[in-house]
Amino acid sequence: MSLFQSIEQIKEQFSKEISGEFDFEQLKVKYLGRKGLVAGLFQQMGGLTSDERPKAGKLLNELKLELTSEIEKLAVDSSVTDESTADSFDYTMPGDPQPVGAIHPLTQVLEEIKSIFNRLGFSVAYGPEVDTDFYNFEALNIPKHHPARDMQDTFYVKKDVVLRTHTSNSQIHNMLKHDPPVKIIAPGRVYRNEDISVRSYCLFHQIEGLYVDKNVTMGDLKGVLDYFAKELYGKDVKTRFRPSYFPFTEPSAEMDVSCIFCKGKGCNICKYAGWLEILGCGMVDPEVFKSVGYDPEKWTGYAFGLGIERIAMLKYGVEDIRLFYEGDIRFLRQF
Amino acid sequence: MKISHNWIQDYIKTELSPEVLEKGLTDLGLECTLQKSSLSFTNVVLGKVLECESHPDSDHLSICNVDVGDESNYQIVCGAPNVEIDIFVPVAKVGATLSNGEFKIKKAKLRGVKSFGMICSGQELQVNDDVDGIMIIDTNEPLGTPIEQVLNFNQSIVYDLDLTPNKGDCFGHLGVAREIGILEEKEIAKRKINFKESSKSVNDFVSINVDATDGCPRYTARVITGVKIGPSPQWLVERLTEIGQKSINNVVDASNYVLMDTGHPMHTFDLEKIKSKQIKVRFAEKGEKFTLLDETEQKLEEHHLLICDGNNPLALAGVMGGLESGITDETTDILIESAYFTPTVIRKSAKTLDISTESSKRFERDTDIENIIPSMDYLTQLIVELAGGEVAKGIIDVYPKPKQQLEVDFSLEKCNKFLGISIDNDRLQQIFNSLEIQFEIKDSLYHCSIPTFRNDLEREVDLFEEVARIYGYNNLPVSNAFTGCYTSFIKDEHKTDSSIRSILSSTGYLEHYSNSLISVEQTLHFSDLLPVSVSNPLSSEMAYLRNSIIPGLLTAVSYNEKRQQKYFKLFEIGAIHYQADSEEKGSHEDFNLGIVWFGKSQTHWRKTNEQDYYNVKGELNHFFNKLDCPKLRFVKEELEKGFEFSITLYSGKLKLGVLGKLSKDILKNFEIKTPIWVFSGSIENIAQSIATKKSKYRSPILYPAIERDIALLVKKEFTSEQLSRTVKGSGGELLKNVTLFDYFEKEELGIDMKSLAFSLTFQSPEKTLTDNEIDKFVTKILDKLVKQYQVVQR
Repeated sequence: MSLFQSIEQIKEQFSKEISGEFDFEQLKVKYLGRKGLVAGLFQQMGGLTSDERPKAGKLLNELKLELTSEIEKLAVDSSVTDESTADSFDYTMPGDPQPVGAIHPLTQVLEEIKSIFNRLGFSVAYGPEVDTDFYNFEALNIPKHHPARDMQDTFYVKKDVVLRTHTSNSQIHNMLKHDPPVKIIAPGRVYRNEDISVRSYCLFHQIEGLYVDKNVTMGDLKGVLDYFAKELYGKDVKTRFRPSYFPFTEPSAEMDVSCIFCKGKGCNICKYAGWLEILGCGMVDPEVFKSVGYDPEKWTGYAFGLGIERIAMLKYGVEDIRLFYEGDIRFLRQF
Repeated sequence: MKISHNWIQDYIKTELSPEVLEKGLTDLGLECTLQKSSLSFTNVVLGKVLECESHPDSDHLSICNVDVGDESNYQIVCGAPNVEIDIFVPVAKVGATLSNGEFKIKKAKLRGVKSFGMICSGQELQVNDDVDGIMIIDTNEPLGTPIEQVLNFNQSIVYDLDLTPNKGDCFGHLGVAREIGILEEKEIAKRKINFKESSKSVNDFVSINVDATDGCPRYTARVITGVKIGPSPQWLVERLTEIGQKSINNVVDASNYVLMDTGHPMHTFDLEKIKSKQIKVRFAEKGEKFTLLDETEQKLEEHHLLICDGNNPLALAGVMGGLESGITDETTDILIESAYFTPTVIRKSAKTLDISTESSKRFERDTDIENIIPSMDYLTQLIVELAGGEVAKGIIDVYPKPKQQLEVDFSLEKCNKFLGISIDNDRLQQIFNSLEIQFEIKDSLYHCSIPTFRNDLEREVDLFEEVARIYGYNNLPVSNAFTGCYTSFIKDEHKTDSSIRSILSSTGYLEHYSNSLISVEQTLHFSDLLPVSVSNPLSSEMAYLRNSIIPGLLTAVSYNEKRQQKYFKLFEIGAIHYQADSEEKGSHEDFNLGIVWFGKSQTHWRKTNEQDYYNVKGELNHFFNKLDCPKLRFVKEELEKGFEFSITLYSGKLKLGVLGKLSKDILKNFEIKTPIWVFSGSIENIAQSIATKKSKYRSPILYPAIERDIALLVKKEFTSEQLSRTVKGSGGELLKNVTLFDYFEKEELGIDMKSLAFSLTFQSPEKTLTDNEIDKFVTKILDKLVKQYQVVQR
């Protein structure tokens, strides 16, 4: 049998074989394996004359390509396992478990707030949790033996070293490091020497904002915070500002937002006031500028601070602040 | 502080409703909550008992016939011992409610006798505590009149103010009335003072000597003789009760009343107890002992200011009187002290003893030095009115250096610019007038004289706030042009934290925030860094700042294990603290990442990955690769503190952290029963390692990759990492990947032998590699392995 006849015969044999039942792997080895039928034909090439050889080579290569292509197609069929197409296949059995992780609700709220202020051109700065009396109090116009110190029950490490009671210390650290203008937010953990209860914990998280520039007005402060409230709670939310007192701002204000639960009609969450207190703010007190070496005649600015826990409790309806720090995975998994 | 609406009427007849005032005061910066009392009952009227006989089946019930002005009388069964005929009583008719609606009066049968209503006691109506019997009323009102009218109940309206520390001027009804005056746009009335002085001079009774003028710039006194201590009249008791004060006796009540009225704290001494007839104001000596009115003996410091009888302490100035010198029922002659004490002195005095009184609260926030004498005169008048007595002639007033009135220059232009408003001179002057600020205009500057009751207005910016306050914060225009400046940008040092959180949370880890205050024991478990302690902790459990991120995670693990949780992964990012002398505050802060793996595997019908070393290592590998930490290495070093097995992770030479298994003792300490895996690392180093990685694109290779497997028999002492590193080192540039795909140990192989199989991937960017070429590479690799590790190819 000539080589050419053999080629034809192999082709026929192949098409017959694949029309019936066959084992895919065996088929592949039989025709295309190292010692397979096609390889065998290539070996016969040696016995051909130099005239016949190019033609035979071409035909053999064509045969190899054809069979390779056919077999690759068959590979698709053979890879479809009968398992999933069988009627008895139970597709309802649970898939492999992948535990679902979560970012802590306080981080989520913080990130949301950060991103709002980032869009307004605030960059992010930090201050330390353990700090000197100077950064936490003195430079913020809270002298020793001033009743304003009662506003924050303080943990002391030693004389003149405290666990910061607010993130406002970051203001001082940053102004001492940078010349104005300054436009920062400063998130972080703060501590208060208060008994642990449903509403209060010995620590919580704040985010501080500070903008110092020429000609900053109280209207700018209101504008930025009103924008912030609308970004956070939706554009229908209203804000109101009430005079308040912080030693490091003058004038000082509290900002309330119209209750997000009852739309200002009054409910038990806003204690029927229609308003929720969410942050404190004000124009930077000239004494603060003096303590960091900024000229209060030249620069003005505003500052604000808000509690992350407070916002998160409102957002998720969490009524017990302690849940944030217990690490109960049944709580954490929900976020 | 509570402010009574009725009381305020003494100063100003309000026209605005209490609700409007509540909002108005809040908008002026006096955070205010309106509290209106309402009657606890409805439909209780005046009745008269016409007949009263004993119940035939009871030894304590009476059957009464009661006229309440209706067409017919009612039969009411009453259990009170004091019921009799011809008395006027409160009658709750059928349909009436008591106890705020909780209790409803219905027709009833008591031991077979019908009863149509109820005769009430004072306690049942919640008007007094009288439980001994029904209330008997002396009145001429017609029967059937609502009882609240008969008893002349004034509805109580109270403003509960949450005062900020700067609002010392509003610490009494007078100050709040001034603010209400701004809202009502009316002037407030002055109290009329009217009493007679005797001919005997106050100087004949006592002399005053102020040594400590720093602490007491002004001290004034009056003397009243022949007073009679007794109960206070009803009106005074009611006013005090309404704002939450207890009535004690007429003189003490008068003193408290004036305190709550004018806001100035005064002290009344029993004159007889001032034996030396000499008041001396001095600072205490170090260690001096003094027993206060509340019977606590205090050890004083040199900064405590004392009011003394000669040298003998009578009172802790501005804070609390002494046990010995107070008014008693036997007191007849009294000395009224009205003084101005320096705020910081009183603050320090009260704070160091951990005392806060109505008096100290006010002195700390500063008082009105010009309010001293009017307050004292008002108190004098009230005492004479309530307790009789004669007022000695004159006042002792020790005031060596009169206080300068505050003067502040004010520029309207600057104010407008600062607040972003444009008010004119007329409006400004109106505002100043309403605040009782007097002014002169010179060269377009306002020279303002600040009223003495506003010690908080010292600077121009303080007046800006006043203008904003009266103008209304909510009326200030909102600017919505946001500006920013490139020069203000600061690098976010914690940017990596977000990536860490995002990778871990998307691979099944839950983020935890733990309490960073821990116990001393917990600081000793994992770190030799000296922890930072809190000198006034809430408890010994929270006396230190954490010096490791692990304890907080373990507390959470224990918490969850006790709640039957079987499988979870937690992480936390947070600051740890340790002592560092090099820093001014004596400590340093680092941010750490902690991870904990709890539980073996999730319960599932198919075998799932067990949380063992290789699983955890794989997850960490994935995590750090995803973060882009280059050249990750797991190295066995000295055992970490608190661990029974620990592996150190490096990125190049930078230590990222430690992975391991905790010791049994630690687990016991945290009451954790299941073995866990823990990672603890430095955020700073992780961030640094990411920064060193250069990201550059490489184009995919066009030519096919060829795989070769090698199976090796090797001594157990050699690690797979050693072998794979040698393979990589000797494989040449074209060896693109080395993967360990099989491992086993078997007795047949020899006790100290193991089998490792690697899959090697070769690929050239220039051509398709031939079998021959690859054989050469593999041979070279095997030669090297044989030489170095005496491997046998299987």
